Amino acid sequence: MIRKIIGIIKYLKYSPVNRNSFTPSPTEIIEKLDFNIESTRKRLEEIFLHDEGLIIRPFKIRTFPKNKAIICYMEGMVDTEALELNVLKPLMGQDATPFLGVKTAKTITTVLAEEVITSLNTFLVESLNEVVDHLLKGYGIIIIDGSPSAIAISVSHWETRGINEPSSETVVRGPREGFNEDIATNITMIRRKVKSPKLKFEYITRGSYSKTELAICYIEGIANPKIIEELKSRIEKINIDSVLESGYIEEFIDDQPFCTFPAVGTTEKPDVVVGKIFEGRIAVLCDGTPFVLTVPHLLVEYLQTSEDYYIKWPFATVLRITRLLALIITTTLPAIYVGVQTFHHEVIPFKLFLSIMSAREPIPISSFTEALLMIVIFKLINEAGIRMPKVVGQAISVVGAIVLGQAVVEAGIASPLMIIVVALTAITSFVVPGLQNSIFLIRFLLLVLASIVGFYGIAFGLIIVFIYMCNLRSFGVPYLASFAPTSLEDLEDTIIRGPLWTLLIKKR
Amino acid sequence: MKKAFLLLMVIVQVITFTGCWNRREVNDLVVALALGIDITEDEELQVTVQAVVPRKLGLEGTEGNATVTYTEVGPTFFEAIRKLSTVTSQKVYIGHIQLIVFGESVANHGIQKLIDFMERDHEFRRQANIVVTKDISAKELLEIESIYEALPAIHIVNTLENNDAVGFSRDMVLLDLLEEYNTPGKQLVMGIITKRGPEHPQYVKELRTQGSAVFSGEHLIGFLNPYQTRGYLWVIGDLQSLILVVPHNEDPKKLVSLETIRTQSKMDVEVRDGQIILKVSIKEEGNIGGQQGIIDKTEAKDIRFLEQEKEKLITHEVTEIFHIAQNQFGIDFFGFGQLVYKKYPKLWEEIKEDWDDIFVNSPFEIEVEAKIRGTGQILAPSSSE
Repeated sequence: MIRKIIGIIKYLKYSPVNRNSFTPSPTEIIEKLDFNIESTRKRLEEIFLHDEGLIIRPFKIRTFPKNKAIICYMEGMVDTEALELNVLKPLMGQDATPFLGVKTAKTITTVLAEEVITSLNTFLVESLNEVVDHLLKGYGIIIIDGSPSAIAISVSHWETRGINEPSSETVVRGPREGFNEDIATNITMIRRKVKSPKLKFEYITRGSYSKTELAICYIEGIANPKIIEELKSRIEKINIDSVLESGYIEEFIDDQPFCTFPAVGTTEKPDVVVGKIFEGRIAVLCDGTPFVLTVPHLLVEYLQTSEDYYIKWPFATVLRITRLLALIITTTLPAIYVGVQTFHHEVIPFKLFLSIMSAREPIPISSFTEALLMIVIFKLINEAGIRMPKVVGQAISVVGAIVLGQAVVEAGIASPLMIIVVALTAITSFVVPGLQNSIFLIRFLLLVLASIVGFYGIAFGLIIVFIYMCNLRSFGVPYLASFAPTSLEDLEDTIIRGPLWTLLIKKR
Repeated sequence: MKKAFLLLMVIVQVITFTGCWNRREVNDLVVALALGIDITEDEELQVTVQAVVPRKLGLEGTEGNATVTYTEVGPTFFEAIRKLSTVTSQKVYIGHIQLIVFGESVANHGIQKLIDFMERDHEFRRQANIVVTKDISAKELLEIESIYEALPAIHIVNTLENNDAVGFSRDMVLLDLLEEYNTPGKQLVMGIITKRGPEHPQYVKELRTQGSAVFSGEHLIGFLNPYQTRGYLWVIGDLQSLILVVPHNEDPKKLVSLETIRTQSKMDVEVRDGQIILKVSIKEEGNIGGQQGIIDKTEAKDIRFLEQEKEKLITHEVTEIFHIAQNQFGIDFFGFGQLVYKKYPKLWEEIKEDWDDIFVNSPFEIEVEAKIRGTGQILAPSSSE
């Protein structure tokens, strides 16, 4: 029994730092290209058996009429027009012999790649494995009989979603563009904001099947090289079949995977990413998702929005304080209400006490059960509202507002004051959307403690939570940094947003 | 492992060692609004509680008051309160008590047996108004209904608090009472509540909250009328606002009302030639509130005249209360003894046993400075001539 518990505790101590490193499976054999085009073609058809997407088209090169050639690509992944215009036309259109330079030791493929094909990104590949990889990435591949290498031409082209305003982070003032699912577009969006060679993108591919491209983005000289190294080593240790969203990466690189507070930030907006990398953070872009990760991620970032820096600082400070207030309300309000109702009747002003009394009078259940019921109901409505198709969403809000809100009061199951408390809790929880899920758990913990021992329990619960948060780290940086450990300089951009000139000068 | 065990211990201790664990929902309480104490002929305490009926609070247009009174008798205060729950449907909760009433009978008998429980019990609200009845028992008082308020006790508390604007009664909370009761060299003076006419009152509007009750030790020994009460409040400096009525300088039948907006008083004692001299200096500021005559009273000399009249009136009121204290009651309810104790601690040790005798024979000095700061919105009054 005890051994089992110890086993669970050890399991809970999992951390990306002490994770076993990933070694590629030795079964992968590098397969050289055959000189004989027929056998190469057969091999390709074997690999892509039951996949009709591979297009193989034999053709003749006007300059070297004796050598048989094939061009192959995956259907839908390439820009066929570019392939015709820049590759097939120069190859099949005219005899290029008179224009060719001195024939030395160069092979046919080198000559063609260097002197005939006008496509920009053209290079030679040596092995069949590379051919397959590049085919799947949307390259056009030309294989020529008697040549040890194939020509790969980058003509990949597919439909992507346009650049829209992200729905999860809307701003009144500030850029409205958001990332889309294409990593190349996303990188472009960041690069356009930072026109400096110090901006670095390092590519890593993860996922043994999905081969998802990741880009680690940072500014050299600002970002801490140790954190970059740590991040890279953590990402390299990931060994999974597919990476469909940056959430996969997030879960693997999080310092405390069992902790409810996320130690990795996500954003959909390029200006946010650029702001963060200027603060020395590192971003991880992942192909196939508009959500970009930023590390290290601290608690204070939930209080900050990009808009804070675009409006005048006193107003931004007011907004920050509002958010902090919302954070406090959404965590503690139900617990305080239940604590007051069951233990601390004295702290309620007399007039309010009378109205609470008359409201509570017909309620048959305890205020804890009442609070629990309303919170669960709200969570259900919330979840249903997100998952429902937009057309039916209207029905959910009607059911939620009228049926549950009003009827619960009329049926005498919950008091109107409890509805106000739960509604306020719900509204304020949307003010700090990133923390919603962790707050939900803390709120619940405090509610239970408050119903057992009142305010004493709330204080106890909050102390536990704070001790826990003080112990959290995000890539070695304390989670509560600039509050604890306190740094007076950094405090200027926490609850108050100091004037921009003081913040920007400091960054130098 | 050790850490996990420690954590478990901490949690267990935190949950279990929390002192009194008293979990009650709001709807499991009978909320006492007012508490009245009388003494029966068998020398038993009779406790009356006015409690809220929450069912009647929420409903629109309910007839009558949303309260109910319960009465129980017992040898001690605490037992009587506990016994109340055999009458009420839930346990009586006194954490929100608004008004505590000492019946005249219990005040005559002595309040010592009540004070300790009120001080010792953690639930007793220290900010509850406290008052003594005259010509009416506490039980009868709490059974009176209110027309204006749903809760009669609130109506009574409001009338007591409104005395701040006239200064005819002493508005006191439990905390003041405990503090004053414990002060050596000072006797207790409490506000009183009485009936307006000779017949038994039915509604709060038939009650009068003017005047005060004087205690010697724990016993009620007499009452002060409203103007005497005001004289007392002048001395101890517990006046907020009041109206002073003085005669006109040219036509004494026409009266001028002067509104006091700020008062300040300082009590002091001094030993001169082996004799203790009681000193009071009062500073007062106010406006002209209204006058019955038609003569412009805003000339500097007229203002000065009114100020002098005011000073005369205040001096008169204060002198009178000193006479009452020294000659009628023969006790020091101002707290000069406390000042002697603070200023001449050694002397106090010698004289504290017979302080009341010394107080009665001590001369007093009164110094009054009254000012008129404003004349209202007009200068000369309107007239038909």
